Amino acid sequence: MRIIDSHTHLMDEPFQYLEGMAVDAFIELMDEAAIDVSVIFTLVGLIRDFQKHNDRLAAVVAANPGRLVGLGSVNPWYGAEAVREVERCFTELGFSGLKLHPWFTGFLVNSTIMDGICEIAADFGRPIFLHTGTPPGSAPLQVGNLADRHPEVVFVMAHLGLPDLWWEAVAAAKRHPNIYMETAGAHSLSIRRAVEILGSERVLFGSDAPFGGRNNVFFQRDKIHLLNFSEDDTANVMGRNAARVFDIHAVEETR
Amino acid sequence: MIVDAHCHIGETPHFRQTADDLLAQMDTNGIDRAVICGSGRHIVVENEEGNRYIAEAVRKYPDRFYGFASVNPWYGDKAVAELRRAVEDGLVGLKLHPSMQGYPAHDPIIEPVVAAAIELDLPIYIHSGTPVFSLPLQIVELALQYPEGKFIMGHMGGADFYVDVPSSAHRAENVFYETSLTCHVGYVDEIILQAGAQRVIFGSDSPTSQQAAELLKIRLAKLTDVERVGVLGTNFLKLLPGQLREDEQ
Repeated sequence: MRIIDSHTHLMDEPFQYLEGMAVDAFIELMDEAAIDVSVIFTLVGLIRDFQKHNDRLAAVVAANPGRLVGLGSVNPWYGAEAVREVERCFTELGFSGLKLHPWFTGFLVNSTIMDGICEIAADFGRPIFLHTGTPPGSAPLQVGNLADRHPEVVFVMAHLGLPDLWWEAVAAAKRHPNIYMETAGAHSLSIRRAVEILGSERVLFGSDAPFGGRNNVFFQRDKIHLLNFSEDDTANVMGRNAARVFDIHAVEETR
Repeated sequence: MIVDAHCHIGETPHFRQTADDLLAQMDTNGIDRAVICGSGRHIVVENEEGNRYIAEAVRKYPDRFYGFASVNPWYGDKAVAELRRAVEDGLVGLKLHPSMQGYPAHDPIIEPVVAAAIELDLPIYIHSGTPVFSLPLQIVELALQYPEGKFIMGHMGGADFYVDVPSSAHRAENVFYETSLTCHVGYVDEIILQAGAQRVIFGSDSPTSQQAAELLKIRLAKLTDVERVGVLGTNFLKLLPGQLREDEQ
């Protein structure tokens, strides 16, 4: 079974109180946890200097072919500059999608500043991965509202709405077929219900590494195994869905 | 001895768990004892019915369960009377859920119930992490108002409101941190550094999370063997009068 971790961060420098993790150590951790591919994005690039941080990410991804898949990030408040950078992410940098974080960056996920970005994502057929679960900017039904406006874009809800808003996440995904779920930080009940209600094709495993420390990867991974899904459902959640959503076969073929 | 300091029996629109379901899960995971709380409407409106349901399970399995009562502070004097009745009936702690019951955790509405719990020497478990009513800093504020109270911050801020937990840990020594539903192993590592392992308490929130998953989180956390014994049981038992012999304190 191929394991794809859909939610990781390039954090090879200290960030706030976190010490970070060098890229080599991160790849070793993936080996130890039997994770084949990690979908990775910047952190500071969500706020400022996104061109610089996207360039760095692209270099790290290029240096680890077959192991890392990059998603670009921008701060949508930069308007036309952010929209231009999204286009550059898909052309020049070869990223498989976007990662945005409404509460961390400070915008409402369903505000109009998202429209230009969503239009580029639709043109290139690339998914947008979004932090969810935190009011007032990252609530799952707000993502539903955005997904309703941009039905041609695939949105992946990180954290499955978190413990407080997971039922909103399930409701939004039930109504909008272009919404997928990711499991980092989500509790067992929400993951089980999402698979039951939406089907295992709509749920993607993620760890949020290196957030939560080295050992957290094993916790996030084994939390899924402890749910005892069927072999087929487990394979969907642990890797097949991410391969499809982020077009990871195509990434490998071009290398 | 492993004690799971936070489980539910009863039902909500999303789950149903009986005392026997929980016992089977405890046996599978090597958990000796568990705190049981009510669920759904038993927390919000039908407090007496819920507390009797918990007390019945405790009477059936007295060596396996500690029962926590829920009363809704909006019932005023009736809530205090129900808490006293439930304690007479064998329950040993108070569980409050500000977001389900509808008040900020430090609101004056809570005061008579908290004062009664302190008089009865009960640990006070408060759900945390759900904005706008169950926020960690509201619980710290309450704990500062009642320095003699023993407050357990359920889920230690839960998901993103964990951000306020480590930075406020030094402000109220009478706040203890229960680990269920906190998103990452690293969050447990961080609160151990900031509050000390003796203020950290293992819980699962079964059936919302799984005991096996929550135990794994504690096994993966940065703890010495002695500290881990504390987190998995003795730190909580110290909050219950008469549960530990003097040499275990």
